[in-house]
Amino acid sequence: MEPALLAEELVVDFGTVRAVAGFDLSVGAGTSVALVGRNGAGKSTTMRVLAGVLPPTSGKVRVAGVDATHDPAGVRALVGYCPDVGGLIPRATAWEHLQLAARLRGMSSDWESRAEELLHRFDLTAAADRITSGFSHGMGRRLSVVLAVFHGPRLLLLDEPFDGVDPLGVDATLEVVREARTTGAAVLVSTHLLHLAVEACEEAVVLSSGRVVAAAPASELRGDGGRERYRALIA
Amino acid sequence: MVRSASIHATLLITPPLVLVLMYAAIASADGLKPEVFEAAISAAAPAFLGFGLLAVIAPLTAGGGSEVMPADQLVAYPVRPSTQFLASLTLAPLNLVWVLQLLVLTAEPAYLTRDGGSLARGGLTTAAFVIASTAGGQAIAWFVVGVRQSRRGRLAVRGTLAALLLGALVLARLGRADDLVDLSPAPYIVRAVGTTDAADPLWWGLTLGLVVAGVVSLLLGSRACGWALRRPLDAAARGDDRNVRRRTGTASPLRTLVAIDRGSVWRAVALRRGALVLAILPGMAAAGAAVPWRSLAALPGLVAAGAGLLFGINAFCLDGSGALWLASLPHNPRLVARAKVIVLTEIIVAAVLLAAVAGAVRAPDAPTHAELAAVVMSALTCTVAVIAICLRLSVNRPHRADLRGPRDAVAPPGALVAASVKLAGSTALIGMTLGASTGPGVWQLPVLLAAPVLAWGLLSARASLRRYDDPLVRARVVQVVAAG
Repeated sequence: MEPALLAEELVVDFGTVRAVAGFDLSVGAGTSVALVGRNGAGKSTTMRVLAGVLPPTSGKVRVAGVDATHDPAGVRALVGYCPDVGGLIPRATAWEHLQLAARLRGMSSDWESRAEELLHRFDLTAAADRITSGFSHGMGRRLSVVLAVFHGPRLLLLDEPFDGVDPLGVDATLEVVREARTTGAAVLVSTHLLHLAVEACEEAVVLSSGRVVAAAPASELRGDGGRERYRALIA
Repeated sequence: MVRSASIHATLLITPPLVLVLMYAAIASADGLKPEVFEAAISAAAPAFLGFGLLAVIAPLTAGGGSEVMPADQLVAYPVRPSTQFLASLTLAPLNLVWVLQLLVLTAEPAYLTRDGGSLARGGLTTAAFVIASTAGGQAIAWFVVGVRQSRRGRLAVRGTLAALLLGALVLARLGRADDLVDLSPAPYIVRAVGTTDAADPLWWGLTLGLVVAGVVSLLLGSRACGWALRRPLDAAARGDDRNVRRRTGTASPLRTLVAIDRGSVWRAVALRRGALVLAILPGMAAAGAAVPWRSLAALPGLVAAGAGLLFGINAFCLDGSGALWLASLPHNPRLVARAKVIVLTEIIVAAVLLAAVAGAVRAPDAPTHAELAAVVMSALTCTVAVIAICLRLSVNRPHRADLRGPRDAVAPPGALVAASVKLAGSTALIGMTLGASTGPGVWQLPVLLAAPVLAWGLLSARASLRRYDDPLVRARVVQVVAAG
């Protein structure tokens, strides 16, 4: 059976700098994987490639059997992406973001009830009609997660979703990750918060210099022993 | 600021180019026809008054003045208010209208002293006036920034501006706009510049007064800047925490994108102020100056270039970091570019129309068919040319721009200068060519001259859109506007 995400030999060059150097990953449906590694390891660049934002220099990405090179729009329809930096149009409101996503994704007319439910779960109902430049960092992160899960994606890409988010927001994020897995979506979470990565995901892959250097069940990175092992892997 | 080779080259070329134009403006005094010479002499006082007004309005619109670096990048460093004030003063000349008015003021001493008097003396007074006005304008603008930090202050500023605008409109309606000029210090400056007497007390007093005013403005401006930056901004002034009325209905993806881009322009204080000034000022200036039809063809180009500088030269910055999320949605990327072109076109067309109509209504003469054709074709051609240049710059040279505060600009100062030169140079050439084409009195001539420029503009815009279709080019634009 075709995995929900298949990345083969991904390479991304920025001029003379190789940001991603032969990234391989296969994630099955209903599986969540944590992408961890040091700053500059290539996590966010990889996420951008998988989200269809950045074309790879070489390599192949398939999402639920759809080839990203031949059908980029088809892949984007299946992916929900929470970018690492902001990810919000500064002078649009939270509701306008959801409205735009619903229009561009061609969602059915009941998108409003789904939007309201998600805003409520992430405690953003009162801020729904405020422009996002007035949001705190944590509110922005929470809205980015809402936008990523809004359409029920087959591949959920969350880049630093817990950064600056309060415990209730973290709980809401962990809950939508669990729900996504239950509905058969693959989830990829990139974060520096190892304990949350372990909590959100079943597996963990460690990136270094743009390639996967280790993969293990996330539970093996739990506790002090897991932290030591992680440090040894990224050193 | 100058990492790009072309921006570097433009910055190197611009100062000598301005100097050459200033020399040309001075030299033009000798070859003028008598009627043009008379017109230039009678326009001297309004020109000085216009420069003085612009010196206040431009920094007021920019919330105190331009910044060398965005405030959020300097927040961790101990930058003194006097440094900030001097930086905004240094950047004040990087303004298309300031430079154009400077060229006009450079010519005036040559005209006023052609039949007697000293060009050096007149030039000295004019230079003192330019420096004092620019420094004074910056000082006033920083003071107003400070006043506006509270609700009462904002009401007072709005009330004062409304009263001034209303007063100007009433005077214009009563046909007494000239009284405004007569009541201002401008006629005295003109007399001092043109004086034939080396010991004229008016010249000495006024020139010395202007020098003192310049020094005092520097000192007071620095203090006003410090006061304005220290005053806490009340919550209402930020405007970020207000609820916005929710739009309902089922618009198409393009209409939804256009609505968001329109909101991104009008909800950014710097862009909103710029657009309002652009909508009001050129029209008022054209109406006030009662520009004859043969010269009106130059007006649309100036206005269109200003509208392009508002945000068009870096149109994708409207999406900010949301560009990353937007790029991950399933859509034809051309839609995003088309939405920006539509919003840019709306602003340019509205500003050009307002200015052209105001100028046409107050023009002292009736237009010939050729003059009418020249103005219409100038408006159309300059709009298309500005859109084409803006689209090319937006795709090829994107910049990160937050546009959160009133002093935020769409591009760094160097890039703004380079874009100004491109836009102003192109539109001035179009305006002058079409204006000159009215000479033979054949209406088809402006149309024929405009046709190839229109075709170039449309082809250039199409080429830029095609370039944006390239995923690599688009990804670069997205990454730059999202994160810098």
